[in-house]
Amino acid sequence: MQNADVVIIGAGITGLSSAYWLAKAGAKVIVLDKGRTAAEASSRATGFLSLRGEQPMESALAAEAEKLWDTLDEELGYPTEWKQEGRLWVATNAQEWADMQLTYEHFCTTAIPFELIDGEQCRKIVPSLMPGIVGGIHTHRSGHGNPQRTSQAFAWAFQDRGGVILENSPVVDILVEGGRVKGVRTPDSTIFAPVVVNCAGPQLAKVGAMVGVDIPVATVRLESMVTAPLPPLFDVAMVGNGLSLRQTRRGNIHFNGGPHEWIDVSLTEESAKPNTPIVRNIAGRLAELMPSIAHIPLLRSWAGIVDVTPDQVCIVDRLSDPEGLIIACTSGHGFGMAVSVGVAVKDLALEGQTSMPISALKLDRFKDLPSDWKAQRQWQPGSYNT
Amino acid sequence: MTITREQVVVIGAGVAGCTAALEAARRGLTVTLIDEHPQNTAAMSLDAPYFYGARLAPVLSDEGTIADRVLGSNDLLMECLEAGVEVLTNTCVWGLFVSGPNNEHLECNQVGLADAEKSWMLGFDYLIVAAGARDLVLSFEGWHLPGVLAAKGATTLMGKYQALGGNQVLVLGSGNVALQLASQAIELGIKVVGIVEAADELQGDSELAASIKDQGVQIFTGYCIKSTTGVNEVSGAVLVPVSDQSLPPVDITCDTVCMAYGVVPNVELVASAGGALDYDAAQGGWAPRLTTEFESTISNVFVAGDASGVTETSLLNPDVSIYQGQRIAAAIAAREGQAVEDEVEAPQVQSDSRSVYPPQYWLDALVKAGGMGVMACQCEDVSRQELIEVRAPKYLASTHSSPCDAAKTFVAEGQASQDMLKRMTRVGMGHCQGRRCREHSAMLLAGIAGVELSKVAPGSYRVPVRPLPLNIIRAHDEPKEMRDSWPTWLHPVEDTIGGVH
Repeated sequence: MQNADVVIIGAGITGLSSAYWLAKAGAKVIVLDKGRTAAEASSRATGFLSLRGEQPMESALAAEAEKLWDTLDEELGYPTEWKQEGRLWVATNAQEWADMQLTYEHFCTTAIPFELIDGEQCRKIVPSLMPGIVGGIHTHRSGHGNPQRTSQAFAWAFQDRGGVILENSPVVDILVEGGRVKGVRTPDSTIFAPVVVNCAGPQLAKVGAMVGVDIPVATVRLESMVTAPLPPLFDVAMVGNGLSLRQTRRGNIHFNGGPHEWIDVSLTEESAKPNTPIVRNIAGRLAELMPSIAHIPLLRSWAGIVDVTPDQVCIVDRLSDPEGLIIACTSGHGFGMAVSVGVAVKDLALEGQTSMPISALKLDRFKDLPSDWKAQRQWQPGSYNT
Repeated sequence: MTITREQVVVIGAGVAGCTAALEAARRGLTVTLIDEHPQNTAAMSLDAPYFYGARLAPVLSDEGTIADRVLGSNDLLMECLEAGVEVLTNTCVWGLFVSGPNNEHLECNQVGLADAEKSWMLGFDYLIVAAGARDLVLSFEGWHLPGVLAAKGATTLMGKYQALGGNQVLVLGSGNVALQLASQAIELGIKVVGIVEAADELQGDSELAASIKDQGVQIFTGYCIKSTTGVNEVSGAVLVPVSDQSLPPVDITCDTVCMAYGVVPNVELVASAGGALDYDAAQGGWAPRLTTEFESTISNVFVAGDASGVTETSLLNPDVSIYQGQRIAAAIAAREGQAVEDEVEAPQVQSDSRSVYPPQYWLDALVKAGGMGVMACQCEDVSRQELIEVRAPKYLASTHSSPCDAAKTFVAEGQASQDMLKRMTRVGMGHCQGRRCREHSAMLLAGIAGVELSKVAPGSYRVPVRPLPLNIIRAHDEPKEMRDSWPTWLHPVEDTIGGVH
């Protein structure tokens, strides 16, 4: 039996960021995970901060994250490989260019500055792009970092401040008494705490179900890969030819995209995350997009599991029933957002409220969601390539 | 997309693979046998999977001669051809994909293949992985110089290719793999300038050791290599005593230094597809979990020969591999409804070798001789000290890169994670895909974390298990539907489900 001010379920980047800000504020925090630290989506992210230009519900929270990213290495004391070098979306043909005009309009929903540029300007930013690039959307804002290093930086910085991470310790029940959260139970212990944070990523819905809270989250397997290291080619976090890609500080091209499979997850076991022959198609798209690097070896691929909400927007909320339960779901773009989401969770846990812009991110926005929403979307386990 | 599907696919044309293929063909099964030799010189220069150490003789660029040599040196492969086995040479297998949890849309179980020009998929009913073993490598000062290679690389160059570009070989280690290498070199007229053994006695089979001693090879027991000499390539080595400090250091002239501390099974294909591994020191560490029919935990995927586990006995005697190949072919025939009466018997073979896994005493001796500043990972330029301190890579130029007991944070419930170490230090993330550092790094992690080597969870194995150029691995056969329906990422979703907005 142990006591804590806050128990956090899930040692992914969202849970670790929340834990860090809480520990820094002096709270006694225990983080629990069914497996190892940042072993799932958090170590398999693309490494972008999504600015959410098309999404007024959370663009302000993304902007807060961007500010925090600026000084995160100094804040944590460990390198994250963050690089604020802007973002670029490119159109490889006329159809994509036509579609991009609409995307641009969507991006301009918020105050974040985006610019439509022509193919020549795209190739100025990324000289290795194929000659046929028609045009793109560019912003100097945002950038990319190393997902694995960032998660570990949060974990170490949290531990440096006395925080405790219990790995291979799945939460099997959340204790509630008189409508208030009392703590959690693992297979071999009970931890008492007045505040419990559900940061369980793909397992969010199953953890919520322990106390009858319905969290609409679908889970999906995606594939990702890297090439052998190359000399510096580009700095922006880029999207094009059906891929998301960035060049790491080491020089590898880290890229992903393509068909994905909707799956089910377990509360206690690590989910199978197989790669598929699709790796050939993903690799081919990089060779098309950057013909001059087509001779570079593909070094490794891996797959990850991502949680997605119906509107693909985060949920950050402190519930009143049961009182003391906080939900933090970053819906597949947690790498960049977790930094500010963690601050909001810290405030919600300690003060019950926050000045972080999360008022649109409450769980009750889904109260009218039909129970078969996953089936309607074809996002239920077994569906493919939607 | 419809892919070709074969009844039995065998990977690796060594003794185990050829025996399995022949036996399966004899039982009337349709068999395809795949082997990556003869390799292209471009692939050979990557040192993955074979650590050739740039000792590639010029004749390797003569494709015709090399093809003749590689095929001509393999009588069993010739028998396979005569028996009607479909043989694909110069073809590597880079991936294994099986239907299962969270992968329900595969047309059939399949392997990814590639030659010098393209990749393709091949379906199978049964797969026999006879992928052999790989060198266990431990480093010393100057091990990055051309001329430093490892035992499997050397024996492959000498045996299959007859193209070892060196004349004076110094052998490090004296287990059966080292002694065999030495006797093979002597047979080919290559000078073995010495055998270095950190222990006080030769470790391998006593009969083999005696025959090598009879050849007049110099034996340096109780010695360890401190460094190579030479600027652009190896011109010699400095040996120092391990414990008896009254012994003098030795400067020895050689053009080739061969690391032969031990070999480990090639498990990456089965492991990358989710097959379970178990740690067994007697089998060379992590080996696939197999049934008595040598089936892995992946249904209808079998493992034969050194890939199923390497023992000092199996290194000397092919009977174990032959038995496994026959047993697997019989098991498959039985599943195909054949009456299999001639149950084969397991051979009773032994070696009195005392060589053990892991060669911890070798690592201790190398550390004592060369210190912790020696590079442990060539691809990413990381020293032993940087590894155990979990220091961030040099290119980040970070002053405060990890907590003082960082390696301990990679331990949970007595289990250390090589993956976490790999992510932070990058050791194992380079172009050799960890083949030159995996065991070294695991042994160092075990030491600093204070756990047994069996409690170091091996770093994940990833597809492709051979580094392949984008141009080659890419799907030249991509169907139009996939091209047209390729999703970039989930949003935007255009539907009108109530309550979403």
